[in-house]
Amino acid sequence: MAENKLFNRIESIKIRNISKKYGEIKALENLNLAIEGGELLILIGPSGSGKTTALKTINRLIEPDNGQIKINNHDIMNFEPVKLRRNIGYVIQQIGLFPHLNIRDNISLIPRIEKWDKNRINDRVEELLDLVDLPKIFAKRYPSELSGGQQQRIGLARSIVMDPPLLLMDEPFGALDPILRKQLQIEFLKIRKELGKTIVFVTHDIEEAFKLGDRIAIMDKAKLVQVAKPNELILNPKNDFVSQLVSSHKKFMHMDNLKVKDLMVELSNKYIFESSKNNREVAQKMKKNGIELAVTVSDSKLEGIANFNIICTAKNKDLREVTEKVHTFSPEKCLSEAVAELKEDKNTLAVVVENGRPVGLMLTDKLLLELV
Amino acid sequence: MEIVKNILELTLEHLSLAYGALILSIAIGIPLAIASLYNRKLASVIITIANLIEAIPSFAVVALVVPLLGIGFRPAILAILFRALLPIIKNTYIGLSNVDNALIDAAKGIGMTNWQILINIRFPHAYPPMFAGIKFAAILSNGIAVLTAIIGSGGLGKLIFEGLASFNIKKIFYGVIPVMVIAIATDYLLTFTEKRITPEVL
Amino acid sequence: MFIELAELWKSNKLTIRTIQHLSMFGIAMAFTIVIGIAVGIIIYKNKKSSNTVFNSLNVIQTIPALALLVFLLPIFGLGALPTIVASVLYSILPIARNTYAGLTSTGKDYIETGKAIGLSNTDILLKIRIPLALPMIAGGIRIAIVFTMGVITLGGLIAAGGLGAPLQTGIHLYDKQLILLTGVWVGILALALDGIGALAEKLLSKKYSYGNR
Ligand SMILES: Nc1ncnc2c1ncn2[C@@H]1O[C@H](COP(=O)(O)OP(=O)(O)OP(=O)(O)O)[C@@H](O)[C@H]1O
Ligand SMILES: [Mg+2]
Repeated sequence: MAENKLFNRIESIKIRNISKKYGEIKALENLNLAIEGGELLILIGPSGSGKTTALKTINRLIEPDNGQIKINNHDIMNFEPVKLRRNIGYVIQQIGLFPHLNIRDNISLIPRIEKWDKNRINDRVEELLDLVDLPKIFAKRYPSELSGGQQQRIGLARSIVMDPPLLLMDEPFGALDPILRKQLQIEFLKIRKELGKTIVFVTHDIEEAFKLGDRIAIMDKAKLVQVAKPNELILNPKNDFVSQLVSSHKKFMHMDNLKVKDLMVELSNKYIFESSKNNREVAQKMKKNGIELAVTVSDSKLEGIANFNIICTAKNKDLREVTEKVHTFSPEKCLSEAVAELKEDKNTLAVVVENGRPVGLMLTDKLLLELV
Repeated sequence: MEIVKNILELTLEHLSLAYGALILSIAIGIPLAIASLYNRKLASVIITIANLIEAIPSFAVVALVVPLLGIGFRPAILAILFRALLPIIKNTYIGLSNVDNALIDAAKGIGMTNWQILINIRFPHAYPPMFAGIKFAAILSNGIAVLTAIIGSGGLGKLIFEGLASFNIKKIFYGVIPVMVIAIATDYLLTFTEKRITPEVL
Repeated sequence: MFIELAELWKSNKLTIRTIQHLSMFGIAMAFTIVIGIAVGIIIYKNKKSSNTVFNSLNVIQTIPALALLVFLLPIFGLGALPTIVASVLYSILPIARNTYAGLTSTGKDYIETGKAIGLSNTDILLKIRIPLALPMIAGGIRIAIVFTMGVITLGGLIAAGGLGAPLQTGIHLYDKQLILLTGVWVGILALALDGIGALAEKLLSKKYSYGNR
């Protein structure tokens, strides 16, 4: 096994002066970027700015026209591509789970090729399912039986099965419902701490960038514009493009003036379920709508929340029986107080309630918690 | 010399048998496809029957014609018709019905009648699959026309069966070679025509 | 009526004829499937050869099956062997073509993901492209079943036995009952085999595609 490991941890990735052209189109122009071991670096920028191209040069899915990439001071051109890729996890938006393989076989494709023994594979699959918060019984299911969020979790699990020290992620949450996206971001942050990997993460979503990134690299028109810590970007934007991109985040700096309703996510009807409903029916609807959180009501009044995984594993019961209590706020409550309360309770989620009816969701994240 | 004359005569007979049946199939098949376009029930019945009949070996179809219609040239034409008709109806129908609804709506919007839509919009779109159906039917017709010699249709198959009966390889090949030439020439000609027609449409 | 048919069945040894027929069919299909898939994969590996190979197979396909059968006489003589050879030659095309189409049409995302997680080109072919092409391959096999059934039935005309033989006898003796009995029986067998093929195709596409599960 050991001989298949190219590196145990990432000390540094140095991208030097790489360019890539497709015909006349410049996809990347003289990109210089140093990624530090252990950090989560965000690549952000408008569509077509070269983010995906940059990411793919790191695992040699794309070979640049010129320039050089070094991982731990080794030129990656000296590694065999297949071997290099087995040392680098890769997660994409389209998920790319193989429809003909069940979850266990999807996750363990490379371990099986590398002839791990059966017990080791089973243990690893269970460990990873546990890590991404999915029940073990999912191992036998097929991708088409899973919701979008569950598939995305499996995609993540598969990418880290070989315990690669480096993870490349290309808009992994891009296709998900906004609330589910926030839930997964929070889960991902937890996982990330456990894994302690170096991560390069592409996104379109500046909010996501601020929430997850240690540093943010901003790209535009095939070029790197600025790379810095989130706060620096707000305080010292290099040009108008950067300041516009980060402007929406200035509001976080004035949290004292904000109320819960300013930051809550509005709750659309598809999230709300009568607690007397049967779980089988609820699970089907949730899968169809691509959501993983049900807000349960009876007579329009809030009862609590229920999680998709739990609903799935108790299909013969009513929704009421798997509903859990949840923290609630009024929309007029001061935001900083609300966040502080949640932090104290170690909660990440609360329902915003008006006259007993659920109207919105509050999802806390790293940035909010840091600001309190 | 005698044999050359004989082969020529039988070739003519073969061609009139195979392509007579083919032309009949086209003449009957296209109107039926149009009728199916405006009658869903008819369409589903025809497609189902077509799929079933395609699975049955030609030899069984030819043989079954005997107890039902007797032997000779005309029953043979019917046996060929029976097999050749269905791919033509099926493909024409599929071509005619696979036109983008938005296009049809637009045509209605500018005031075209159903008939005008059929001629000016649906048919040009249906040419490629229709042609594929006709090509397939032509190849089938040629093949079954050889086989129907066993039920007394005459044609080149006659030489083959007579040769088989007397194990006269020479005679068999007098029949087989023209059949192969006809098959390949037909395919070539239809493919050529198909290519001439298609670019106008697409 | 029923007793009469049973008599007819017995006196023409239709049970043995059916067994002969199905064994020739089975042997021919086994060869056709193996060769068809192999040809499909080989062409996929040498894309430049694809036109030549498909054109040749296409030419065979346009030749009437009976003509092909007797064309092989000088080489293979009469009987089951030339019937099986002709049937295989005739039925390779749909399987090879669908295999090739299936292998080349694998979703780009799947290929890219495969590469990205570190599959070699061989792994991608064996573990991704081929399994995902199975529904298409099954579709080709289904067409091949129909072709094979047709050619095997013709085998009766060149002394291969099988159900073509009583059909020929019926026509020669102008025995309408025998023709009807055998003809309908062949039809039923053909539809049943086609049905099995259709079922397999359906199950595979269900298993190997996203959604409708
Ligand atoms: N295989 C290719 N052939 C031709 N042009 C390409 C190819 N791949 C990318 N490009 C072009 O290169 C540029 C950069 O593409 P890239 O995919 O890196 O952008 P991106 O920042 O990831 O965009 P998005 O946010 O839409 O994913 C674009 O103009 C794109 O059209
Ligand atoms: Mg991209």
